[in-house]
Amino acid sequence: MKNFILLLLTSLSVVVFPAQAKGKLSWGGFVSASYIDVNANNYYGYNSGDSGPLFEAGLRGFWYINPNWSVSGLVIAQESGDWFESGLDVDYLSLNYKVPTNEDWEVGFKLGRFKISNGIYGETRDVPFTRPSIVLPLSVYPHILKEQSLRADGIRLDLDYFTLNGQQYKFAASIGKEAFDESFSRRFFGQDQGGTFESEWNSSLHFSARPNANWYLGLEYRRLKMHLKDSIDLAPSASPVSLPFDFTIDTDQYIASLQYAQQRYEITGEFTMRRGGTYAEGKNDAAKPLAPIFDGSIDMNAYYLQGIFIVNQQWNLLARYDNSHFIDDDIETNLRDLEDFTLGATWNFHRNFQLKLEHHWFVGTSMLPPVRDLNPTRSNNPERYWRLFAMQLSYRF
Amino acid sequence: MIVIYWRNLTQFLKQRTTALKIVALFFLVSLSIPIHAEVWLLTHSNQQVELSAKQIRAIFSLRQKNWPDGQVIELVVMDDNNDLHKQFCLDALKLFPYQLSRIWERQIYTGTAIAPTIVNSEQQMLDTIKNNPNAIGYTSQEVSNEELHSTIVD
Repeated sequence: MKNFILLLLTSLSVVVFPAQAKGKLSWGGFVSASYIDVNANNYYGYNSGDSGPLFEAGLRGFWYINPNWSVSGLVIAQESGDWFESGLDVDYLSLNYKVPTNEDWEVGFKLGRFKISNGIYGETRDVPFTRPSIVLPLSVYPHILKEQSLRADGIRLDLDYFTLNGQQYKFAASIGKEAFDESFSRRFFGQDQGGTFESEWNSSLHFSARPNANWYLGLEYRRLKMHLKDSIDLAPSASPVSLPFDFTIDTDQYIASLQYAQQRYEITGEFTMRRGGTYAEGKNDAAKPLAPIFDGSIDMNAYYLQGIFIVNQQWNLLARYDNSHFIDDDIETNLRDLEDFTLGATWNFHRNFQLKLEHHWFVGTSMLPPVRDLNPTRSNNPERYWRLFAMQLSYRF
Repeated sequence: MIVIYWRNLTQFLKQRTTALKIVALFFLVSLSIPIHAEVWLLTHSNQQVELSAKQIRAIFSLRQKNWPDGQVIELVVMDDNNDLHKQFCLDALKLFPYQLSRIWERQIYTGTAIAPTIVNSEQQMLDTIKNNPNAIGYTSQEVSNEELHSTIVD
């Protein structure tokens, strides 16, 4: 990212000076505070009890240099429980180039850290005003794997076509590396695990169509491969022999989205299919025979159905059914599936303020961290039937 | 006694059925079809550009960002609650107001657009556009003076 910032500044010095003074800087942001209460399991963290406060703040900037060039960025600060790193993070920072075309077509490139198109809500999932609920459906937007499909460092192409009747077709393709922090290793292997996952150059394809105001259709493909190098050691800490492993996650994911909107209501359904697996490589002779214990399929099918009733401009009500299901029979029942019945309400009581309330009834724990705790003495998330209540106050400027 | 009343009532209703149907139909139609007021596109007189329906959609969905002379477009709109805003969304953009807000938010928070200016009244809309030669908005009536230019939205 540091190299990119240097490249960005160098590029700007070339781009900006001939551009004359026709640019514009637009900025703004949001602040939100949430309270999440869970009656069982470790949704929020492993040290802070079953519930706790969450804070999110973001500052965005868009520098429109000229019709072809722009720079955009969003810095986010988050305090969201023990499973995630707290503090500042660059959500995206990119140099954008729009190819001169006619009014039917738009072609643009983003270089740097960009957002990945990921379902209907994935691109702006950290911005409270843009999501339908505080906790997004874990089937398509898994909380624990958030960094996998949030953003990447690389290049993205956007191709848009607009017809005279207002139809819109969009194609996007990107290639980049996702940035993971140490918390991802903890979310995957339990709170004792350190080390940072490193992404390969992963690709993403997106197609969407909006034939009229009522319908939206989206299709997506994500290729994701990442490694954890020299960080796993199965030997006890006092042991003179080490058992080091490299670990790999390799998946292909498909998402289909369909949305139907009317003046008073909106129905959304998204289905996702993930195919792939995990495997490890023992780094010494003692570890090699143990490598197969990390082999596993993580094939899954998941979907949600959501209805939003727009009572008026201030109020809307939400009802949702969410279902995630791992295909592999070897996975124990509680980790194999997750169902979530949600009821929620949003109150936009001021142009800049929003209050959200929601209640979730869960069955299963498959999308809760850790995915696979390497410490067998710990019992994580034992309850199959559990509830979550969330409340969030957001302000934008 | 009750039977007599019931017969009288049914006879009365039979006689009035046709009239009642017409009244009910008129009532329903008047409820379901909103009164179609006019909406005018409003720009500063410096920007008297003829805009196609497609260009209007592109500007108000924050995709087209500059005027033909290269100046940055300043989009001025009213709140989602405002009736004129609702009508403009439906007539000119073929979108529900909440859909337009969502398109804006997605573009603004993924770093591809300049946020619009939101005003509270038509008078404020006129004043804002009067003071900004690159602004565009809408109004409920024709405005034509030295500083402003309006064209009807088809």
